[in-house]
Amino acid sequence: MEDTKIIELYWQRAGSAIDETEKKYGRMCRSLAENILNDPLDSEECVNDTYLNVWQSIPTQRPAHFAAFLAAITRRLSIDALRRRNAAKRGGGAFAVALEELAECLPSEESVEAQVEARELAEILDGFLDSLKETDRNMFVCRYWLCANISEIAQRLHVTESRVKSSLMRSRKRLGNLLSEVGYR
Amino acid sequence: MNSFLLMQALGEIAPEKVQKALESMGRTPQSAGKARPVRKLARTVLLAAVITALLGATAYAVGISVDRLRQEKLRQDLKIEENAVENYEEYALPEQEETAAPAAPKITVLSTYRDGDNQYIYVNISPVRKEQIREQAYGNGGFGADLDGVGHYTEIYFTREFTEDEHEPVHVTIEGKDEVHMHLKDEAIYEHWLENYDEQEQSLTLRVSVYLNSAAPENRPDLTRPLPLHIAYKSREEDSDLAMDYGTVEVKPAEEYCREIVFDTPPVFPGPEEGTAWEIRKIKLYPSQVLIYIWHDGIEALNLSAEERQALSPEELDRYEQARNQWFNLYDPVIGNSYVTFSDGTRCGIYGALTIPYVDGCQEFNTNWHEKTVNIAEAVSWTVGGQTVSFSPTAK
Repeated sequence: MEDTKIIELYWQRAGSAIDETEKKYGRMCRSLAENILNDPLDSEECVNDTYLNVWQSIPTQRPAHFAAFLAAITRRLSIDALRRRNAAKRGGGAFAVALEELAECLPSEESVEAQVEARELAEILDGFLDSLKETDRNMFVCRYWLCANISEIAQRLHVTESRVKSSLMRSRKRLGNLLSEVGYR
Repeated sequence: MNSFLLMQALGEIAPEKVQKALESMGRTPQSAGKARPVRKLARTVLLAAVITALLGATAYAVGISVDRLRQEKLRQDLKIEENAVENYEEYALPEQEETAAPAAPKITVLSTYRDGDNQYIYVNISPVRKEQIREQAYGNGGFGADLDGVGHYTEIYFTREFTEDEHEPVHVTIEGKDEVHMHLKDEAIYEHWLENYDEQEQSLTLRVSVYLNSAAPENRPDLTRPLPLHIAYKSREEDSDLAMDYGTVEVKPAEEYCREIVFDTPPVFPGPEEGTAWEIRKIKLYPSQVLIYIWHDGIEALNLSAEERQALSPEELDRYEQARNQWFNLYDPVIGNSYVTFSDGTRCGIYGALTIPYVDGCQEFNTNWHEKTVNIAEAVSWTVGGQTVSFSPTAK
């Protein structure tokens, strides 16, 4: 079923809206949650919570990118769940490894003068991603937004793993430089 | 800044970029695999949605009891099972077979439960025309309820607005919409009414609130027998003579279900002047309501009877009101930001005061949970003004 029709079902408060969402995007949400939480039960809970969130959000929203809308909710709920589990840095699966990799491009704690709000930082990240080539941008988003494995990215994008790794490394370096330039070092 | 914040910030990037990445990863629809069964939470959402959908004309077509569906939906909405509300009772429904929406106006009493000084009764009335809802919202007419033996007819209220000395015995509110205050624009009130109205079926579900402890004894309902509840509609605008009788149903009082916790070491907070203080002596938890008992030195002098107040000069009355407000203004910021923690670690906040009557030598701070109901048996502590008081698990 097309996204617009699913969204319409939510607007009509039809129970089949959740069924159709599960059919079409259940796997995507579950995979994203599992990448972050590394726990099937917690992931399942997050996916269910995602449906509930969507049910409560539509109406009044009518998202233009329904898959991204769903994924953003799953991601946020999964990160919240991970926080609650207090296992952010170690033993947390792909997300924890992704976190450690991202830490490379961050300035040291001592040189940071002020914390920035996530939204302000998101604007910088948006600009940064716009400056990347499409393939590099997709790899970066797949790795750090979807928390996908490098091997999975390579397979899906039909490139070698080393190509993914080198692209990510270059992107992280550029992001690190950019963050320094705008005053975070 | 840490990588967690960076990861969080990434969540805010433009959705187009995420959509592209999802497509490149084959995670968009075409690649979606076999669906797994939807688990409990989603099933709950689904069930409520299905009931809502069935409540259209289809229910009659397939011979399902519409009133039974309404009871089921209400139980879901109020989270009766989830929060183990013990004193929720559903009424037996009429036995006649329903094959079509009723032509003549009728009321059906669905369920009831009692919280503190209120007994809530859910009634469905139908058929109701949309214009009647509009009149109700715009104050040009509306539904009224009375209880036999009370002899009091009252308009339907949007809020439980009590005056200190004169409590109306019956209030009819839209379920869950007590927060709709009169200062809202009429359009907003109208929208809230429509949320509880099924235009296709022309049915409206109301919550009738019977105030059991009316300050006026002659208005207090006799709880030893079933109470006939009568609902009618009257228009002031279209035609001054237009009135519609929705009939009478009998409701019976429900048992009270409550946890009362008396604090051995009451939480204490500063009063309006240096050297003064107020304390919270006990709390009563109900599935949908919380009562908090506040005490301080000199509290009696702030709660004069009507006769005593009448004896005051205007200046004295002014000083009296100012002194009361000084104290009362302290309560909301502290209690309105408090929360109760449950055994599974979840929390539920409570709202500011609805009323603060003087009861048993204390100010009784009446308020509601942020949720429609909570499982009071699982409440383990209360955090108020930075202080946490634990509840004995046996306190009930």
